[in-house]
Amino acid sequence: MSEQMMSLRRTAQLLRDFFAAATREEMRAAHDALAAHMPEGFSPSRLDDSDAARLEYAFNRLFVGPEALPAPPYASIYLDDDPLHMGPSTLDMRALLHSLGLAAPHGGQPDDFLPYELEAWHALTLLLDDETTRPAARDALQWLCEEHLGRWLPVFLQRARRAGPPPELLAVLDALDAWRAASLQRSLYENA
Amino acid sequence: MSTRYAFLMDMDKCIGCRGCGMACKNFNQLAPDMVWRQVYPLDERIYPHRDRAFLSLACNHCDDPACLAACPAGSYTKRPDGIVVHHQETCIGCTNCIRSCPYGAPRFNKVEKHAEKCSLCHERLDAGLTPACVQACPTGALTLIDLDTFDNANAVQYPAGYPAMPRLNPSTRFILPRMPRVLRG
Amino acid sequence: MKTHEHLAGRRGFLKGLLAAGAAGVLGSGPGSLLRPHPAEAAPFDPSAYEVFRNACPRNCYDTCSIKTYVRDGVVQFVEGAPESTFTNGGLCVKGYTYPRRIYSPDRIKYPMLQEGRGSGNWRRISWDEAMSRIADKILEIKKRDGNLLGLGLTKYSGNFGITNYGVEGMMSSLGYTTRFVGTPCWPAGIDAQNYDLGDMWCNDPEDLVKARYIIVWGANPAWCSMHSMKYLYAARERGARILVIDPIFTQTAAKADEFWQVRPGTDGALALGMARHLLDAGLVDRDFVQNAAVGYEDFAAYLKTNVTVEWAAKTSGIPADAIRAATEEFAAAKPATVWIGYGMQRHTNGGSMVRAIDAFVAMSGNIGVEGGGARYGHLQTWGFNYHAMIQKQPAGSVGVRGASGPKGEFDFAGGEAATYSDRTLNINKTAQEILDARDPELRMLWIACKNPFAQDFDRNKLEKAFAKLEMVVSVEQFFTETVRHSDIVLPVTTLFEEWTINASYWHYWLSLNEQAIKPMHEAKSNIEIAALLSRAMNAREPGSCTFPQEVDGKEWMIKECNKGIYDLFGISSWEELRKGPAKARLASSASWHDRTFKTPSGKYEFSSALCARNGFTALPEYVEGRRPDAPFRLMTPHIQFGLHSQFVNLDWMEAYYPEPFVYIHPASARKKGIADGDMVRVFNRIGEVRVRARLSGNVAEDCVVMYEAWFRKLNYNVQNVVDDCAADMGAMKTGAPGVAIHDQFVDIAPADGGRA
Repeated sequence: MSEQMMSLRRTAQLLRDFFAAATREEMRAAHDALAAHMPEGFSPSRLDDSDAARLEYAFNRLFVGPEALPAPPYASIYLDDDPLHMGPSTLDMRALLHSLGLAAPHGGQPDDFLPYELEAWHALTLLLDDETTRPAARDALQWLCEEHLGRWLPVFLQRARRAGPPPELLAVLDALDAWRAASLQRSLYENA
Repeated sequence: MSTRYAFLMDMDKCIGCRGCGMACKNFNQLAPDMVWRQVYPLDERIYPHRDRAFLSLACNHCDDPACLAACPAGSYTKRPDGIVVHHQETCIGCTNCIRSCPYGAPRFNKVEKHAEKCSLCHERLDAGLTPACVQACPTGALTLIDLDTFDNANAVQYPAGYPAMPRLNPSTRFILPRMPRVLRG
Repeated sequence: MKTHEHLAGRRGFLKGLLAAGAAGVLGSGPGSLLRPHPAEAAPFDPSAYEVFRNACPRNCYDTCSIKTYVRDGVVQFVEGAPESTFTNGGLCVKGYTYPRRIYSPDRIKYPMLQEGRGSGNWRRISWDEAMSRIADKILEIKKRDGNLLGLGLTKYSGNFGITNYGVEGMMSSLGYTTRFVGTPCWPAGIDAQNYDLGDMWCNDPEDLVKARYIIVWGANPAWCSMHSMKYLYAARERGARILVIDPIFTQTAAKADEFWQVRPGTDGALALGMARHLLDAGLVDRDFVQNAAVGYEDFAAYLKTNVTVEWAAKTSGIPADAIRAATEEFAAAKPATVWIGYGMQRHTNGGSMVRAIDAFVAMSGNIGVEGGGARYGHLQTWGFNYHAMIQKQPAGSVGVRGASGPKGEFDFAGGEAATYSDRTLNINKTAQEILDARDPELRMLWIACKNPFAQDFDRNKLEKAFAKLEMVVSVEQFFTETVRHSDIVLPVTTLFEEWTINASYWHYWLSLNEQAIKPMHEAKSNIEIAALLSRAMNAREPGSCTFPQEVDGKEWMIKECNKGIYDLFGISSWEELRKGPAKARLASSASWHDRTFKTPSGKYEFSSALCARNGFTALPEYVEGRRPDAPFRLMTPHIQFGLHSQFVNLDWMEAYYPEPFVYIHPASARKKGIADGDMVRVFNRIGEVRVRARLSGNVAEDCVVMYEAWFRKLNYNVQNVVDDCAADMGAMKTGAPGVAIHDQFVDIAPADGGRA
């Protein structure tokens, strides 16, 4: 496996940790780890307390609540005709997770939560290494790139950027965008 | 025995609750801003009390549907029982039907880029059920009739405020609203 | 019906061709052997779904029995239960939006903490951390004050599922606390009916079909009890006449045979005039007034001395000949009935007006008669165990000395014989009571099943009151104004995510509410929240909370049931409700059918000593209403698209109800220089509302109407201009008097140059 793929996998894991963060400390740790892994655009690379507080409030305003969210981190909101949870796209993702022998941690959390999708991508790329699982993994990754994650991430990013994120959060969004551009393209898997 | 399904809209019983339209959205899982059935208050020149009498309209399942004639993709069919069916899966989104229907029944789905309209819930009829809107109507203002056997001298085809299109021969029938005696303090 | 093929079963290229509209492109060209084959949808197959029983738990006459269709663990759609002859297979425009509520991306997902109330700086916290902070605060208050009276609860009708009375139980399990008691809804009428009849007990609404004359007085079932309309129509088809009396030409009025636009607050005079005419025309039911009633002679004397039909006509605005004619028709029709709405008693003289109407119906001999009755509401089918509600205070708890009165009409716990009790504050004066509370001050407020910033009166005062509170915890599903004014918000389950059981205060059906899906995100039910709090309390101070630390929603639902309930509904177990809702087995569809009244005398009381003892007149005498202090009377009743602040915020509802209006008579609008659709200011001494005007002859010239609602995208709140002036009655049965919601006065003016 190429060095590039190794790096993208690491990025996906760090982005997963960031978007799954529930607390300020988790968010700060994920941010700092991302900055260490791909320093470009991260300034500062280590957040102080007030940066971290600002990041947390903005993160919750955009992605968590309790106010109505400008950019919910769930696929169905963008892909389905209906901007709702648990729609067809959620069930697509559930089917994919199940086929990987995985499931969302509890019934109430939609399967198409961004961190789960990043983890699914990560898992699929691991399957590329094995000859028997490679064809199916390639098909699934191509679906992920062209019909699922690759389709909704640009809209999600656009809406998140439009919501006026502070620089700490913007840096992470840029990192996600860069990862998307590098990872979610068919050609990457065609020769795998 | 043939059947020609149609809606009977009793404006005298209708309370303008919009339950019909919402039941349609609920069963057919329509997009947030999409409505297949709309409830229109009558103009005060027709009924003198504002917002108190209504036309509840969906597709009129015309005898000679303009949508079907205008569709270049063959996405409209008319069943032997009179139901005009739109097939979203073959719709090319040209909007000819939307422009040709004088009743505004087909509407454009901006996300999926196709037309869509009331199906008279033929999947429900085929399962022995009534259309979702009819089942929802709490007052019996909206019912399903068979025009081949329907016989109600009070019913009209073209109430005021509803375009008369004899060439299309829309199937919906209406009962006109009455008015109470009003004493004002 | 949209069908969804999951990824697992998808055949990519077929789907791709369909999506590209290949069939449309190919068509059926010349020489083609193939014919077009539009895909026919398969018939709807209910067996493809798991079907669950649910019930709409909102504060609504109709309390619909719901069938919920679930596939892949997701609610697909809902419909009315056909087994209930009342629901009759159809929900209302609100009920059909339920899937939007469950799966809305706007739902509150996690417990959250706001750092700086109103700052918008929210932190996500775990349930453990939320409960730790709350428990710490409660214990700190207890230590500081030596009691828990600084902890208050405000809760009302956001979810009437019986297990949700566990919120009250949670408070009791902590000790003696402060409760906001009473109800903004119907208390004056409840007390009125208790004085007259000994209880609030209405006929089965399904027996309206038997009536030959129906007066719908101050109620708008076409919007607020749509499922009752079919009985009115059926009665009319059988020859009944329908008269609607209302200050507004409502949708129900439009469906009547006759409509009287009564001057607001003068309904009592009108009813007394009708009673006087019964007397004059010799139409009084002598048997009833002599054998089943007390105080009739005194009342007749009052009518003869103080009431004339002409006076009633002058006061109410309804012509005397119409009053006489309708009275005679009402008396001649057997049976005849009055549906007394809740709107009419939301006045400073509201209870007295209900008593006057009761008296008119009683004199006509229509009490205790099938198809007759003075219908208001009932709680006959609410005989649950209140297992969740009735919890014991921890040993050594200290509160207010002596027993407390009722904590609302749904307080079935009975009087407390204990040395101590809770402190009670008037729910209808929430803002003022918070500001005035002393020894101790109200320090902490728990809000559940309620949205004070949308429901409580004098919003500007409420802002000041909330600023006084040290901690506000709200239990919610959406980001309301109340959540904005909270420190901690806890996500609560929708009805589809919890077990409970529901009865109605109007019809006589009982519905099971099954958990149809797993709770979304981290939402928990009210009783689960109580159990978590108990765990946190006991971990800090063992014995400080008696609420069980583990609850099972289904078990707790079962614990609400008892033999009395099963016998009343003719079922052997709650499990029978899985087959569909059950209706109470009634000896008669008529309330008071054996003429045994629950008054002190056991008879219908035209003259009530109890009423006099409570500071009112013994007889249902006329009482003048509140004096105007601005040019227009403002009424803020309910619209069919929402129930208080619920439903109007959902995207589907926005398709049918995108924007509120103030409704004003065209003649009044002209005088004010207001055109249809103009932006206007509706204002008075306590605040203002900016809203678009809609000109309508449905309202009187000296009246304007705004419907109560919460729009997620609009800054619209009628409580800006509704003050907390009390209604007359209500304190006896609900703990606090009602509120004069419809005795409000405003002025109106074009805003922002009108056409905005």
